[in-house]
Amino acid sequence: MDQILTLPAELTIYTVAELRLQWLQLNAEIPEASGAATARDSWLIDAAAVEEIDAAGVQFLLALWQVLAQKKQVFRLANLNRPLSNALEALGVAALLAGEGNNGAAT
Amino acid sequence: MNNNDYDNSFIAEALPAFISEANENIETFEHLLLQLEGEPDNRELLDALFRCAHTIKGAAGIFGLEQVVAFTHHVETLLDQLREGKRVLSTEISTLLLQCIDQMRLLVSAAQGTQAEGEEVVQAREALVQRLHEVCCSGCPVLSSCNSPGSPRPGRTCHWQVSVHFGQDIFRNGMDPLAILNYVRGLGAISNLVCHVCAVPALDAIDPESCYLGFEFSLDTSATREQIESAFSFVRDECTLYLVEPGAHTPDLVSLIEAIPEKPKLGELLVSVGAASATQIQQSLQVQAEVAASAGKAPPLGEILHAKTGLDQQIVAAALRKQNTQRDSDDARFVRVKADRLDAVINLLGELVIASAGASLLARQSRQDTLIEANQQIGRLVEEIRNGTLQLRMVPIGEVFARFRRVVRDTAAELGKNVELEIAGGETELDKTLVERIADPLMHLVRNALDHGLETADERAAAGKPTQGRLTLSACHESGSILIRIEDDGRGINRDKVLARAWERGLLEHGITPPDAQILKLIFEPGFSTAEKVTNLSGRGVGMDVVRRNIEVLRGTVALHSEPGRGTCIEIRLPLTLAIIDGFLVGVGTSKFIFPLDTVVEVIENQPGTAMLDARGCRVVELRGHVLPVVSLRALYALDSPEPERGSVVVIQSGAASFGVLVDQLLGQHQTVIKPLGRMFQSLRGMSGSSILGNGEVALIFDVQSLCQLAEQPTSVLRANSFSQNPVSHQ
Repeated sequence: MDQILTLPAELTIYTVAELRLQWLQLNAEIPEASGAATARDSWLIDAAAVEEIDAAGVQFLLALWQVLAQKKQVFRLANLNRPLSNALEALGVAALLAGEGNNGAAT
Repeated sequence: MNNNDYDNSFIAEALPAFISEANENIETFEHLLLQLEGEPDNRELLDALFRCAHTIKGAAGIFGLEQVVAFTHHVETLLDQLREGKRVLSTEISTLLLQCIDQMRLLVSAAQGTQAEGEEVVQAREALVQRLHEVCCSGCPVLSSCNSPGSPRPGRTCHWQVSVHFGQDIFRNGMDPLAILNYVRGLGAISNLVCHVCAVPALDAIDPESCYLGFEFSLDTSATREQIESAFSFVRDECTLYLVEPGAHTPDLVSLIEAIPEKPKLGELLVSVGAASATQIQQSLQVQAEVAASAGKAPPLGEILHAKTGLDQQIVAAALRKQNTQRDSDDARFVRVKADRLDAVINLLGELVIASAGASLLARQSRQDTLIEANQQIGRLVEEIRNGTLQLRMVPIGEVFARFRRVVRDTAAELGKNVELEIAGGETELDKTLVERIADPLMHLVRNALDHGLETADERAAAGKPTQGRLTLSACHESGSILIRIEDDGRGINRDKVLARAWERGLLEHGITPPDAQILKLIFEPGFSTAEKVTNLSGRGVGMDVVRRNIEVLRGTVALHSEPGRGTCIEIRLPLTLAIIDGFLVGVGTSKFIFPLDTVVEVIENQPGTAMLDARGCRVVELRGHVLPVVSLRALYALDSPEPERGSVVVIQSGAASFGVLVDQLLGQHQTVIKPLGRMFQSLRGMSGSSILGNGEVALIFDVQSLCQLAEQPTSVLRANSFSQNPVSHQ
């Protein structure tokens, strides 16, 4: 089952710090699954609510991608809407974050 | 504490650090500027220069030093024009900038104190600001041709390669790279956009409000370079921007590759700088895989690319180098340490040396082998630590030498002389305190050489010399000392003039002509100067003796060599360290003395009756056919103990002269921690310090230079003991 991180309406410099804390907390609360690890290996980033985004927000997603890639966890960005996909395109990371097979294979 | 108090106390604490860093930055600024004079087209230097000024301004801003900020801002404006190619660095501009540097130094040091500035200072500053305004607004801007050969005519679409790395504070300053890139999109078509994801730290480690983003892309646009750059104008100071124009040559691409801050894959690298296209890379990778599968070994991607696409090997090589090299920034290699902490450590080390010597002594007395060996081990380790720690205080002398570039430039210009300054051996290291204290004497000697030694261009031409005078500053290590030379190819020292002056001032008896070496030494006498004209710089005759004294205080020596018409060479010798040295311990009666080990040449046996006196009544000894002046410590310090049957003569080398010292016992090598003599004992002849031995006794350390002079004096001048000798004849 995926862990879910729901992105707020504003994914900008003003909200990234708090969002990061949120993620850290969520991450810490995951109980250690004994044996098979699949349950906590996959993160679903729900972008349905995102209306405003800036480069800091995109950087946040990149940083999240990085940390998941390091831990060999799955990063899935879902429910993208126009503002977010435009921003990802504009900064050249659409393929990385929203493309296929984004399971965080580190380059 | 309320906010205000907190701020004030922060500022008070941090201000010294700011002052010292600001001064460093100003030095760097000057250094870069002087370099730039020689390479006015060097874009990197220009950028670095601007960044320097900007840093000074920024830091000053934090401390509310409005004046520094305001003044530096004007300087920045001029630098900006230089950077944008609107103006070319001329001698006039660089002289103006140098004057601004002086003003900035004044401002920074004024920030420390609370006194108001003098009227003239304020006026001088305003005059400079006026000049800066004039220069900035003057004449037709010159389009610099260096960094944009064949700038594209507006209207034609060209293919640019852009690389931009945003500074960490971009977000905090309210800038958004997303908006900037969208703006750039408005200028033309962006393709091959690559974001340097590797530079973004992982979410658990990142400060999400700092910016780590960098991008490479190609831009097809009809805009000019300035227009493209202006898209980044709000963040220009905080980001690294590279624009490589259409038709870029290999070297440009190579330098672009080298500028990429982290290490992506080879293919990505090449695509990102526009050296190859993604499809080409893809195809080459495929070929590589195929060959690897069939031949078992994967051929280098670079080769394949070269074969397939004709990609210049140089570019691939640069990309590979980028991948393989670790860029360790200068910051990681150096650590700032407060000088007094270092001194405290060295002090403790000194105590450790003494304590360890004491322990060794007790161990030897206990006669327990294991204990003796253990202490020897400790002694070895302590010696190693000692060497390592003293190294910490060594700095390259090049730092001092570099300061002289400015002095030579300004002074030569003032005097209307054409002089080139050569520096050699700048990497030679010496103790930090030495470096600081040698700077002034060196400055004086350099000024002298410029003022008196080197002739004007006309005079040189008339004498058949090249019109450009040469001044060489060099340094090297020589048997435990550092040797600094100041050489010029000027007119040399006029012996006759010196003699005449000496006779005139009564320094020498009229008519007596001592040997050449002595004549030259006269220059170091107080009040001596043969200059007919007293200039601002020199000629007042208060210089050379002070120079010599300052050098002697550092336990150094200074010597002059000169050839009329050919030039002068001044040699300064300084001991390498001041704190702990290897010593040679000797005993006379119940007293102990130490010689610096590197001055001891050999030891010979002395039998009573073999000591002789020469014509002047100086004690001498014969050594392999040469006559060696000898000092008897017993006689010199009037020590009472009876003389032993067999003493020794320790042969000491001081500079070029050798002499012997008569002692009773030889006690061997000793790690000597130098403790300064108290003020009461400063006038003690021949001594430069004291040391504490393992058993708590105090040993006096010799100053071989002055001991050498004592050795050359007749015995009658020394306090003689009841030593049977031939009747003494006076000079």
